[in-house]
Amino acid sequence: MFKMVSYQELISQLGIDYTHPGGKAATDKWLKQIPKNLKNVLEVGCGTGETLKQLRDHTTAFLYGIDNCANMTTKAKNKTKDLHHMEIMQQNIEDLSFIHQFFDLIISESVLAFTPIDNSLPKLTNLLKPNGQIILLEMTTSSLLPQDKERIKTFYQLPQLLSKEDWLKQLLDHGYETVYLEKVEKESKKPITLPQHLSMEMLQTLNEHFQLNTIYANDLHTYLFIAKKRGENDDHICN
Amino acid sequence: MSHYDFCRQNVGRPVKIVTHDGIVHRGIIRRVNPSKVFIDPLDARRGAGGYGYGFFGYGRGLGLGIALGAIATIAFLPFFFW
Repeated sequence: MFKMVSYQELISQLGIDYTHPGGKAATDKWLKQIPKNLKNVLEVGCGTGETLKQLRDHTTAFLYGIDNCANMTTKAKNKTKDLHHMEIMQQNIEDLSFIHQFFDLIISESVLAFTPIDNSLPKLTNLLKPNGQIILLEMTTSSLLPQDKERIKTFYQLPQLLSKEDWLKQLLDHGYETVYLEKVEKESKKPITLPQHLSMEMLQTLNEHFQLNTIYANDLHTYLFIAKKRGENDDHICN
Repeated sequence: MSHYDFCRQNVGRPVKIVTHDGIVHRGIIRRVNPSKVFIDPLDARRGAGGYGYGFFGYGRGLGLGIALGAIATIAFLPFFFW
């Protein structure tokens, strides 16, 4: 067997933009739909800051980006250093240090799927204002045999692998309503460019990633979910 | 555009190369010279144990060399990350 780095390690070492399915086109899809008059926006797993940079042109809100990887936050800080009202921090979702109901909008581009969602989604929901929105661009699966599911979960170190219906249920169970969803093309139209120096360990991981997505091309999908958190009044009725 | 020019302009990009003998190669363009293009192969055999250093004279920084004259078609390989 050949040595590999973990998938997350590969992504971190590549340090390239748009390491989420659908690339820039997928980001553009939701970017046009964000509400007006936002005050505070959070992107979890901001990576190199490419999405935050784009967001800057679409809203006057204060933009916050977190990523658990120092390599990424360094890049993101650098990329956005000339932009106003922007704060990038190295943080995990579990350790988010914002006050309750601070954000109008929270974005996760293929980030939540890699976290234990029973824990991370309530955490984010708590930070969202009533009627605030969450935008998720996440991996979904259709019918997969248990062993195939395990193979994917192991390689990507996924705590869970959810279907479109599972994601919907998660959102509805966690106090969201009016969920908009749309299937998104996984592959980017624009060819990607990889850095010049990839170690053998990185190439092994990159290859395994490519092979898995060839084998499971019809079983793994990407969905865009835009969900609104229930308002205070509704909360009251529920309580 | 010649295969040489295409390869030169797309170093670092994943491609699918089909040679005149019908063999399909997938990989990332590493470098090109007037006679060959070198790719880091994306190949199902790679992780299986029978492939790696030494295979095709393949080693770190060298890649798999394909004669430019043998190439029938070359195209970008659809690629994405999760």
